[in-house]
Amino acid sequence: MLDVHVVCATNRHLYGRALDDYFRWRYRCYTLEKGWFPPNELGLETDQFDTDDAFHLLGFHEGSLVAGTRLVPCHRPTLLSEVFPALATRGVPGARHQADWTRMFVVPASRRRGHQGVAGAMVAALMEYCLDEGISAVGGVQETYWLPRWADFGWDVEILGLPQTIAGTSCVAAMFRCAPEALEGVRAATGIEGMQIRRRGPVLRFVDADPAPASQPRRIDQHPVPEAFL
Amino acid sequence: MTLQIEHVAFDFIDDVKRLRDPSAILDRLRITSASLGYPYFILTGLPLPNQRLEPFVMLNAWPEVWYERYTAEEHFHHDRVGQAAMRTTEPYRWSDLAIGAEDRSALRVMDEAQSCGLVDGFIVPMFSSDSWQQACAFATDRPAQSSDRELAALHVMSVFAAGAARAAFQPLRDLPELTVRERECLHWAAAGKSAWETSQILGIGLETVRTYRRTLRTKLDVATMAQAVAEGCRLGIIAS
Repeated sequence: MLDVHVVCATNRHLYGRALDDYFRWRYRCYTLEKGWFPPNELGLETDQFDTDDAFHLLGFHEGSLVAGTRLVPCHRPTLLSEVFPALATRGVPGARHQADWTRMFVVPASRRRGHQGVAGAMVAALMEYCLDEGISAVGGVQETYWLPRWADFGWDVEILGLPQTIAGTSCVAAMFRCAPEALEGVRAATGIEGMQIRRRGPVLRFVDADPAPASQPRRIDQHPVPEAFL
Repeated sequence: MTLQIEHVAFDFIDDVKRLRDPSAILDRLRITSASLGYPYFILTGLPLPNQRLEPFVMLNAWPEVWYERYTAEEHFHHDRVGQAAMRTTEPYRWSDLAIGAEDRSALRVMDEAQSCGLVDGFIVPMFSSDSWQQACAFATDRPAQSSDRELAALHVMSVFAAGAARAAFQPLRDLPELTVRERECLHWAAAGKSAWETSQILGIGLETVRTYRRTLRTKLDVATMAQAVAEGCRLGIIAS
C-alpha cells in the first residue's frame, strides 16, 4: 500500500520539497537511466507538459517518495498529440475526460519483479484516481513490451496504431478503459485492497480542471502531509 | 499496402479479444501470421537453465517434428536465437544475430531447424508476471523479406494473442496459486512419471518432490496424484 498524493496547480505549494524530489527522480530515471534527454545542471527533468494542466501522482511509502507519474487531460497538448501523433493512426484522443499518462517511475531501491510491488500499487492507485475523477480512458505512448501487464490486470486495451521504434524502444499508442472491473482486476493482481489516493489542500477536479475554483467544494481527505515534504 | 497491413492487425486484435478457446486463438493467429509469411510460431514462457520448456508453452504452431525434437533434446538451452529473448525486451529477426563458427551447439540447433523447414524467423519478447519473460517466436520456411510494418503488425498481434491465451487459461489464476515447481511436478505426473523420476528430471531431491506433490494435492483438494492430474486437466493447468 502506498499513500498516493494528487498534486496539481492549486495545491503544489504544499509539496515544495516532495515535488523537487519528484523531478529529481524523473531526472534519474528518464535522463540518466533511459537517456531520453541531455543532462542538465539542475538535475531536474521537466518538459513542456509540466504545466498548470498537469496532475502529478506522488507515491509515498512510510513518508518517502518511491514512485510518481503524470496525467494531462487529452483536450490539452499532450505528449501523444504534440510529439508522437504519428503513433496514433486511428486518431489522437482529444476529450477532456481522457487522460494522457506519462512519466511513470519507481525509484530503483523499490523496484522488483512481478505485480506485487510498488509499480503495481502505483498502477492500482492510478486506476482508483481515474474512476474517482470520472476519467473514461487513460493511456498514451506506451512501451510495447509492457502491454501484457495490462492484459494481466484484465484491462481493456485499445491500441491506436501499429508500434514504432522510438530511440531503440518499440512504442505504441494505447488507451485503457477506466471501469470498476479494471480497478478490481489490478487490485486482485497486485494485492492492493484499499484506497491509496490522498488529496490535500485545494485540489482541482481532473475533468473540469479550470483555473477558476469549482463551484462545488471538493471533499478533501484529511491525510497529514508526511514531515519529509515540509 | 501499409493501411492494409494495419487493417489485418486491427481485425485480428478485435477478433482475438473475443476468443476464449486456446485452439481458436491458435488457429486465428496461424492464419494471419501465415498470410504475412510466417506459417510457424510458438508462444511460450522462457524457461530458466534448470527448467524444461514444455510447461511454459501456451500456443504451439511449430511443425510437430521440430517441436518434438526441440523439447526432447532441450534445445532451448543451446538455441542462441531463442536465448537472445532472455536478454532483450525488443523484437528481433534471426538475421540480426551473428552466430560464430565456434558456437557449434548453436549452429547444430539452427541446422536441425532448417532440416525441419524453419529457415528464418522473428522473435517478440514480452513482459510476463510469472516467468522470466515470455516470447512469441515466428518462423518461416523461406528467407523472410518482411517490411517493418509487417513485423510491427506481427508484434502487436502476438501480444494480443498472448493476452487472450492467458485469459483462456483463466481458471489457472482463480486457483490457489501453484508455484512453478508444483506445476512442473504436476506436469511430470501427467506424463506418468513417479516422484523419483520427477526428482531425476528436475534435478532436485526426492523428498522435495514428495513435498511439492503433497502441497499440490492439498491445493487441488484431492487425495491422490491421479486425481490431481485429472483436476489439473479439467482446470486447464495441464494442456490435454
